[in-house]
Amino acid sequence: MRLEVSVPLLLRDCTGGRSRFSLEADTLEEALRRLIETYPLLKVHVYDERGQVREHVLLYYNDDNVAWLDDLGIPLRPGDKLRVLQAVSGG
Amino acid sequence: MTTGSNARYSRQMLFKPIGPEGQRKISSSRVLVVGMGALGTVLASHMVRAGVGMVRMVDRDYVELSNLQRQMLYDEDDAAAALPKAMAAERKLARVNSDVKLEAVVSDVTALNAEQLLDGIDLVLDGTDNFRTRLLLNDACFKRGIPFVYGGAVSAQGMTAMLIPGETCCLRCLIGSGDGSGGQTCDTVGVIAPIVDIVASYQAVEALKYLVGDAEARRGGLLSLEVWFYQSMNLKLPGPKKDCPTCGRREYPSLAASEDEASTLCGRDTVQIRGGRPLDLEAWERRLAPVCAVSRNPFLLRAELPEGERLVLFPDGRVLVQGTEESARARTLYDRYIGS
Repeated sequence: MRLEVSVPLLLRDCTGGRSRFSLEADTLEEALRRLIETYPLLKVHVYDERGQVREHVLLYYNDDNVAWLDDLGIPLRPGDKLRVLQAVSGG
Repeated sequence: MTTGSNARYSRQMLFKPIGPEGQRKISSSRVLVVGMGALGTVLASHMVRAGVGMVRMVDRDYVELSNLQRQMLYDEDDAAAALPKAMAAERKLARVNSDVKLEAVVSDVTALNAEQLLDGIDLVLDGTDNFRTRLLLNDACFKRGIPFVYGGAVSAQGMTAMLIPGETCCLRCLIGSGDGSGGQTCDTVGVIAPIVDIVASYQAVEALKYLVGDAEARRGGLLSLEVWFYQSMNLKLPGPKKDCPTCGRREYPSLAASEDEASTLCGRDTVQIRGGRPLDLEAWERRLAPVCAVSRNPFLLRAELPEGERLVLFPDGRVLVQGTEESARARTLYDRYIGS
């Protein structure tokens, strides 16, 4: 299943200069793994040394925050989106 | 509302979701804006022009030339006079709407004064530039049951959400409990002014809906925007997290945190040291003048040190050490000129 992914403009150096692209995966869990395998430079920005999602990084599967999901083994459906966001601190 | 209100607010009252009744509610409301930088100046301007009864504005910093690109209430005279932002904003806004009671507070927001700043306040608008202060406000708001309208902007991207105790999750649920140093800042990756105005205006819209009691119209969600290549998403804002120290366990850790003596400001090559005693600026001018160039206004004193750095002293005991990001270096200079 093809999944549409977006990353913040400030991280597109890690994703070949693109802030939107697609990935092939069957489940959300697989998509998250593929994202880092395909764009290894992204790993340090998204995960900490313990493999946890970094504070200030928000992962959204469609409109749902991944941190609130009980199960990442969700089968992907056509039109699904994965969004990598960074909480914005400036003001 | 005072005489002349019908004329002043006529266009706003013609807008049906507000109307005369909504205007009365707005005029009897009390709002706190924390941080009077780019977001805060737009937020305060909207609140004052809309006729909010009382607007309290808090900021620890003073106006500099690099602020004028995006901090809409300030001008070159304010920068030349190094006016504290809260005072400069109060002066401008008092001329915009004399119906509104304005309170300018030149201070840091700390665990010691956060709750006091919320006294009598219906809504808190976030104009801060760091997560540490946001988490502090988040905890104080959730403890007191006051909505907190988060906003942030950097580069060409922004984010905002209205966080409502008992209804939505809190900021700590979203960004964790780190030291608040995460995230890119305007001083490291820059910022364009329109994104700040846009985010602050979204915050102001949700504030007005809340103040007039139009719960059905609330946007809800976490709005994420990028305005250069353009992308916008309004994402689901979950409910409270059971294990969150703030909205789940109600421990409010930021309010219990001990105060750090030094904290680095928003990547600005500046370290702030909070001394334990008030500073008499006139006395300090006399003391420092023989060793360095000193300038003083009623709100602060600047001393250009022979070492190259600059000290900025405030009457409340705070000292900014500008020209370094190293706490140890800042502490050394503080001890050398101010003393422990």
